[in-house]
Amino acid sequence: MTIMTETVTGLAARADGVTKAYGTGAAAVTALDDLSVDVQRGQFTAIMGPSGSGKSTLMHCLAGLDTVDSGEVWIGETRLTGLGDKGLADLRRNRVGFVFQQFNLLPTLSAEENITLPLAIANRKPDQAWFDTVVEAVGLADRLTHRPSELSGGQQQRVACARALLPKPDVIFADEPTGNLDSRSGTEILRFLRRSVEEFNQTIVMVTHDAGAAAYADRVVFLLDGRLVHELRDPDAETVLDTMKSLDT
Amino acid sequence: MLKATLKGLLARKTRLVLAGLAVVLGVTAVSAAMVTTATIGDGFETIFATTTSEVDVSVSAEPNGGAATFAPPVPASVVDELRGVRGAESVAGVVSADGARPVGPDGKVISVQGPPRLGVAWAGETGMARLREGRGPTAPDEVAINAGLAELGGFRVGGTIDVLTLEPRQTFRVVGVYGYSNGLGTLGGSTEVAFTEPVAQRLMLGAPDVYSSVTLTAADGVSPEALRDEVTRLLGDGFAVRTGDELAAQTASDGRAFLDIVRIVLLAFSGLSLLVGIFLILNTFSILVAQRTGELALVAALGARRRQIVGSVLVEAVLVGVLASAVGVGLGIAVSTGLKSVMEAQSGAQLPVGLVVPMPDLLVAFGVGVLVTLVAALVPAVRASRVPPVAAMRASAAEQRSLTGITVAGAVPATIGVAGIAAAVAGWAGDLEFVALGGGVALALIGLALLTPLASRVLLPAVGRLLSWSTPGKLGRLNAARNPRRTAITVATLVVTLGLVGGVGVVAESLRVDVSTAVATDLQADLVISGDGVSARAGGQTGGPPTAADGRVMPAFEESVIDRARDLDGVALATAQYVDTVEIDGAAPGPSPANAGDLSRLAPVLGLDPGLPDLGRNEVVLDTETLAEQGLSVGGTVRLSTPRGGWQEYRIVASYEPNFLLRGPVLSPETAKERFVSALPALGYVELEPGADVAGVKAAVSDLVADNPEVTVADQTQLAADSAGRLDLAEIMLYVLLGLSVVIGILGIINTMALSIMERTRELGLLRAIGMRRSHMVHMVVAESLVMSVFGGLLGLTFGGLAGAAFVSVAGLAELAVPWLSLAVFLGLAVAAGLLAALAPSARAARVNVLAAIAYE
Repeated sequence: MTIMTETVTGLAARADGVTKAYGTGAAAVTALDDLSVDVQRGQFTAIMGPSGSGKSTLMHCLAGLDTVDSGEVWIGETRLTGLGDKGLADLRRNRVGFVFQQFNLLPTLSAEENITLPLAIANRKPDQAWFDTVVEAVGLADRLTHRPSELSGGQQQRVACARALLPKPDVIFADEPTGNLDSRSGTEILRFLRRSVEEFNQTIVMVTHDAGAAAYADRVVFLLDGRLVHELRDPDAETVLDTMKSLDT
Repeated sequence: MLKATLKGLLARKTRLVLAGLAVVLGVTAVSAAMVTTATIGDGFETIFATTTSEVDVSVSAEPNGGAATFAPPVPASVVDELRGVRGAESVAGVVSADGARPVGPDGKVISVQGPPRLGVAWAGETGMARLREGRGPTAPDEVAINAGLAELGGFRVGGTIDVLTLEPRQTFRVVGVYGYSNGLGTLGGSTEVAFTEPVAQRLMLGAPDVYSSVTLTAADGVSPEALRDEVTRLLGDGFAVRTGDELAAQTASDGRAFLDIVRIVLLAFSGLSLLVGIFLILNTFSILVAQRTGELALVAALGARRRQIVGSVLVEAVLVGVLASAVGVGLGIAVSTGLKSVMEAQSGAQLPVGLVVPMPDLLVAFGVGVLVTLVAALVPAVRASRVPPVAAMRASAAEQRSLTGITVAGAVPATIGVAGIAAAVAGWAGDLEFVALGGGVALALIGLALLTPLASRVLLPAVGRLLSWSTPGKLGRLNAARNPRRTAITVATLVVTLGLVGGVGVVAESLRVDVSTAVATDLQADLVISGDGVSARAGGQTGGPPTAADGRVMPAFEESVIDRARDLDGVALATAQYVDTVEIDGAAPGPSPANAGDLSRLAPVLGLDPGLPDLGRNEVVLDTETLAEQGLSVGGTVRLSTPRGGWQEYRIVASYEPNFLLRGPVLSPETAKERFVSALPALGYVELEPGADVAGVKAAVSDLVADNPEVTVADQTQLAADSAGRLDLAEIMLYVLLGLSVVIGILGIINTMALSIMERTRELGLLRAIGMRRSHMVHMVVAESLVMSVFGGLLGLTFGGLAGAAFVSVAGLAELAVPWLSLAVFLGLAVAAGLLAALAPSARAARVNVLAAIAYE
């Protein structure tokens, strides 16, 4: 019992017996099949799996972007199941951060405005010292007034990372954050994410199909047909690749 | 390529429906205007043709060549003279004149807007009249009335009816109700009261033994033309002799002339709505082309030639135009059917024709609809053909184009236009001031349209700041500023419409102030006795709703009212004014307002120079403007034709400065009683002794005219308000007609908003993902829509207001009055338009599915 309590408080997010299907009847596809997973606070977790394994669906459900058919999803001590649209929107704004593969920024806003957007929506002022720290960490101090169209792909993605980090969310969800970048920019992003975990104790969940990217994580969970099939701690790229290959067969 | 176009068309039907809707609305309005006016015109013609079907030749007096304002009566001697004419089977004097105003059961005069209220002499069941009940009048206090009037006022045989004519209110016994040989109870809505002949002559023509016209029927074997020539030969000059057909054509063409004005006004406004529709179509096709950049580039990469690409867009436009115009014409006919029954229900008059569908006119409407669509699609089509094949490889569709070219293109007409306006205002343009002003305004408007993108860069943030106090609002504002060209086209309709509204508002308000000021300055009387519109006619002003004063006979009252008013306590002076229209013979012959009264009393009341003499029988005083216009001078003579007196020579004994209340020849009261159409005064002025009780005297004077439902007693403020109020109806009509353009403006905003939201689905998904609530999304979209509509509204109202101010200055109105309240209301209208336009798009934005929006595989 004691152990149980400890784990709950030590969790940033949790899926408990989650099932999610798309479509109905014969055309129904089970994306998540009675899946349970814990995300430890202050850990960098990578979700991997072949196409159609349900990794994106899992992330969407954990992040409150999608609803589950059965089971429960928690962010910290908040149960997402049953929260209304407003509650979910507020949760996403304050307690969850996102980095997407592409189209991460609003073209009408400057880099700085993009970074502070979630706080602005909530009518909150960013803590200046923390803002400076974050901007320093992503190396964008001299790019703040630029519009996204004036930034490179890597810079845009760093703006997105800063935006996700600024509200100090419970979890940052990154969906293939390096998928659209050249390898040098991708490495920069992954290093930054790693650094956020180590220096700022940020919890990160990243969906990726790139073994190299997954190697930056503390832990890799493998999904197949909507189920958690394998897990690696402190992985290296090679082990990840081997695991992926074994899953494919 | 055509097959690909058709498929593309189907795939984007919602977009095209919006674009098509603008064409549908415009074409509907145009064709409804055409069908309705054609139907009414045909109805009139049929009515006049039946009215004169049993007349072979008609004779009436002709005072001034041909284009006479009125025809003086024909003496009975002419009838006798014509009895001997060869080839005539029958000769009859006819009394039929407008101005028999029946008093309804509610004590008010029965009002029929437009058709005449005829007073006639009963001639038995000859001609068209057919008794339905009772008999014709035989005694002086008996009348028969037409069934239309019986129905309007609930009159029946055996009851009584009060009628106002050239003489004050009189009561008659109704002894008969009649209809017409075509089975109708009224001819085109006109009411008719049939008196015995001597009574009709006295009440309707103001003299015994006169007729309004003489009609003849030809004997067997004699053609109407032959009889007409015979009569002309016999009577000589001074008479208009026409065959029945000619008379019908003449009467119908008089009606047509009015109808043509209505038609032109309606078509102008429908045309305007089509014109502003161009912006909407242009915008839709531009966006469609922009959205399809990739597709078009692919087609280009696959080897399609420019002409083929232009062609494919134009074919799309033609299909939309044809479909929308066809629907518009159909709707136009439907609307006309509705309008016809509404009009018939309102006037109680059945048009003796079905719906007249003027095919050539409708084909024009159809063609214009297609053409407008085609023209609007041309620019986007050409732009589509310029899409380079490499664009297929690029992801971004909405690239920003520089505004330099369009700004330079706009600056040129804007500068010339402003210069023209400035020249007109400063008076450098001389006689061409209105040409300079009109041209300047038109050029400036074109310039403004081209400069709107630049203006949106500068002004949108300012406007936006007022409306965006929160982050979603700010995002909306930034979205509105995103594509200046698109914003400019979107708001163009509002700019044009509200520009017109603002201009008209400023001019109308200034005119109102001008009129009120003029009335207050010129009018020294404390109380005025008058009927609706009489004072305006005395001063030669026009405009406002049709009233009795626009016809031949205007509301009048007994002269004794003035005498009795003079005897009231607190009254210092009371005087009467007779009002009519005469023909004047001079350098510019034509109709002129004419007045009569005791000048020694009238001059101070109307703010004229004192010292004008009291007039003798054939003496006249003329205003200086008329003197100059007609090339006359004091001491000389002038020939005037009065309705009952015909042409007479008058000695010009003095002149006066015309003002708002008085203009044209002024004659002696005796002359008016003898020769004006009505022997009664139409206006009375009462000045009070110092310290008299205004309300008390007003009540006492009102009592004197209590039995006259057409005449009221007003104090100065009331009179000023009444005079100024005559502009109201015209102004309101204009606003209503502009409503269609406002609707198209709203459609335009909806269109742009909907398209923008579709384009930005991913962005909206992102916003939802990072925590925007649905309400935030709605707020954002509403802010975008509001910023655009308020920007357009402000731009339009400002432009219109300035143009209106320039007009006020050039027209030399006393002062520039800005109707702030109205302008605020119009801006509110723009706000409402923005809110309305945001309804559907904001709901759509709120419903954006985050997952679908951010999914990209």
